[in-house]
Amino acid sequence: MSHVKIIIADDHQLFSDGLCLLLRGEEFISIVDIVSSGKELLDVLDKTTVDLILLDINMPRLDGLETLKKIKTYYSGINVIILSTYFIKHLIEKARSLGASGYLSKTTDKDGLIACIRKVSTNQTCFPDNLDGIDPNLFEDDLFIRKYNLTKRETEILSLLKKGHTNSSIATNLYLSIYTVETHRKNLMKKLKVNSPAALIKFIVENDL
Amino acid sequence: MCLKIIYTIAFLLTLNLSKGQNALILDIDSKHESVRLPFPLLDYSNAFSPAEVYKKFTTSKGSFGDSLASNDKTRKSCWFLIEVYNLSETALWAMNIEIPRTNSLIVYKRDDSLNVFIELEKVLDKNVEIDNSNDKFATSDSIPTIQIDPEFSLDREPDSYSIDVKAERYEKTEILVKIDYPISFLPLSVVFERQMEKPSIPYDFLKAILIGWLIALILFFVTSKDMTYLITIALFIIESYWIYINSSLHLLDQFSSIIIWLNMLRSAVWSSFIPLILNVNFRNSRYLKYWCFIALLSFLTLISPNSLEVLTPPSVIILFFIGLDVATVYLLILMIRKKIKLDKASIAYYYLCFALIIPFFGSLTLFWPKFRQFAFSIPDFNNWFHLCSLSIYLTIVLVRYIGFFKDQRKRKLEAKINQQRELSEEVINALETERERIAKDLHDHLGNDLAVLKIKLQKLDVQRMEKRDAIALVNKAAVDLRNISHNLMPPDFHNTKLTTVLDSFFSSLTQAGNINFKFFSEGNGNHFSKTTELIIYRVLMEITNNVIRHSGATEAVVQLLYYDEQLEIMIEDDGKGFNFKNSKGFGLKSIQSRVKFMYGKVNIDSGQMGTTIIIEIPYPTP
Repeated sequence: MSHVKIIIADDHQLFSDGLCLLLRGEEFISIVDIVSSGKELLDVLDKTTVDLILLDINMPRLDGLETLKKIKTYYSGINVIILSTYFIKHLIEKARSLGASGYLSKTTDKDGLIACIRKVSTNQTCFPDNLDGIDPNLFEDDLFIRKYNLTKRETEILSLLKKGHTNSSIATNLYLSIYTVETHRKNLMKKLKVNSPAALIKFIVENDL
Repeated sequence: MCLKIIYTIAFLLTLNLSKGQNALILDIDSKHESVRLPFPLLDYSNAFSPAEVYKKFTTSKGSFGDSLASNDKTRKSCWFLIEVYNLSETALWAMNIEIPRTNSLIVYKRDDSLNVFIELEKVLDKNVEIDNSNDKFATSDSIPTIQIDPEFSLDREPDSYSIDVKAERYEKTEILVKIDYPISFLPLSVVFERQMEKPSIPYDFLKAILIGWLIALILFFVTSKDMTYLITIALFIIESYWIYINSSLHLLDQFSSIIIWLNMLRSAVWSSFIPLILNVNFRNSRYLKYWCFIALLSFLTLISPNSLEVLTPPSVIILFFIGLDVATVYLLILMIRKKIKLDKASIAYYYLCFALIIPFFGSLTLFWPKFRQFAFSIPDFNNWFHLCSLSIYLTIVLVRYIGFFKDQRKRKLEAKINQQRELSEEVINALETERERIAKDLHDHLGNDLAVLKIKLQKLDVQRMEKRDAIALVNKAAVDLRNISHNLMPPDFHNTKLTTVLDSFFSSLTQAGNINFKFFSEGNGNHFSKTTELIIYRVLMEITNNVIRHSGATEAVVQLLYYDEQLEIMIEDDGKGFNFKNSKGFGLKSIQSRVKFMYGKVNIDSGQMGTTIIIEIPYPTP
């Protein structure tokens, strides 16, 4: 394994130092520099060549995501791992879309961190999986339902509509109020992109739901 | 201010100068009335009925000296047939018959449809001594008379009988007069007399109502102390008086009705303009100067209509009036185009509407003969009309007045509501800012410290088990901290789409808890500000909080559907439901007030098979 040159960008001095200590033991890693702001990082990148950056999101003077954007514009060859106290799906997605190669929580243990650095330095990505928190098995297999973004309740209502139930009989069947059923119907029409109740029935018949 | 007073005085002067004419009497010579000069039919028997006499008249075209057969030459009587074609503008008129004193006089009016004669007037057995003094009737020059035969007239004092005859406009009337004394000519004159107007109940009743209404309106404006409208009313009444006099003036012949209508228009417009002039600062408007100049010119023409009759042909006067009216309308247009102020413009609009009423009816009388006939068949029509228009005018003003106060109250209320909204918006903003700060601080300081702590622990050379426990504890603390701070404020909220934030939120909820949250969104939109989106987010958090804590559900579906005009949020769970009417602790009130704040509405449908909450929030109008 080739040598990996790393810059740590974090405004939290204690953390940077700790991280430094943690990584020093690894032979394939060398910490080139520690910076405490996005601006400083960009200045350093001007002069130094590095392979990987461990980047914090919350930083003064150019935050992590902005810095990431700049790095990916000017130094596209450098891999970036986001190392943040934030750990939420949309931020991870955002970092991924901005070109980060990995995303780790700051409380990840040493082994996880090193594995991630290894992975990223061989140009692989390293993101936490199963962020959706939804068991894929829970999803109905029906492609149609996925395609039209329908809920379980909506498929129930569709099947009742197919059987010729009226709003009020659907309401009694499903223990709902008529208003709720009407709203469901309205939503179904929107989701299936039909304009009238008649067109909805026609759609159900044509697609044989 | 000074200028305003001058204008007002100028107006008052105009109005005062236009008073003082006498009623004009139209007589037999006027071209409006035609009376076929009657020749008498002498009746010596005194035994004929009017119908017989009428027949005789129409067959033989009774010429002078004709007589009906009779034996008794001492009891002579004579008959006259008078045909009157009423071309005047009044339905009622009086016929003055001047004859020597007689014993008896009977006047019949022929009813066309029935061919019957109705007795109009009867004077019987007037035992008056015949004296041979000079004739008085000849001295009267106000009533032109027809020269009477000297044989009968010179030695007798004439007696004047006034007989009321009602003939509608354009109606042809035939009147038979029987006199117990043989005369060869019947001196008679036709007099229009307003005083003769007989009280007619519906008109008087209406008039009484109108006057009562007027008094009520005037009292209203007196108590409301609105001088502007009081002055208007005063001017209008003065104008009314002037027009009342003018309307009895048949001076200008065929132009007279036009003049009256124009006067009405003028008076309406002028008096309508008074409040405007008092309200609007026109001091620097040169158009107003022009307008006043023309107004001055036109009121010069009104000093004395009698003298004008001599000095100017009527068309000149009309030109002045038209000039004035054009100038007024021009000014009105200018005012509207210059957009004085919305409120003033709306005042102007009302006045314009009112001013249009009068020329409308005026033109009706000019171009619609039937209406003209109707209008003038009402005795005292102009005066009456004026009363009506004043009532209409004041009613419009009153309605406007009330509308104005209502508007004002509504505006005040709206301002208060807006103020409250602003206040609550500020509170919300302050709260959110504070939350954001705390969340950030937690992450930045405590989060980093925990991370450092973990690194240190990992490096620590202690017993493996203890170390693992400590690290697990740090991990738990980090997760807790994350949850707390995310609840306070989702990270990067202001740069992330609401649906994305919610997707993350429900993902983590599902991961952390026992309830499987599914999040759907349909369509998207940038319809809401971030502040509003934050409120929506908070509402959803509150609801999911309820679902987690109280519903006992295993699955929940959250949907965000962006419709064309509104956002629909639907939250369904399969829990045990709740009675939302007595569930104060569920944070429903805060949900409802927040949705209300966004002008939205909440529908809660809770049953034994779960709860469905539907929230509709309209997009803010840009």
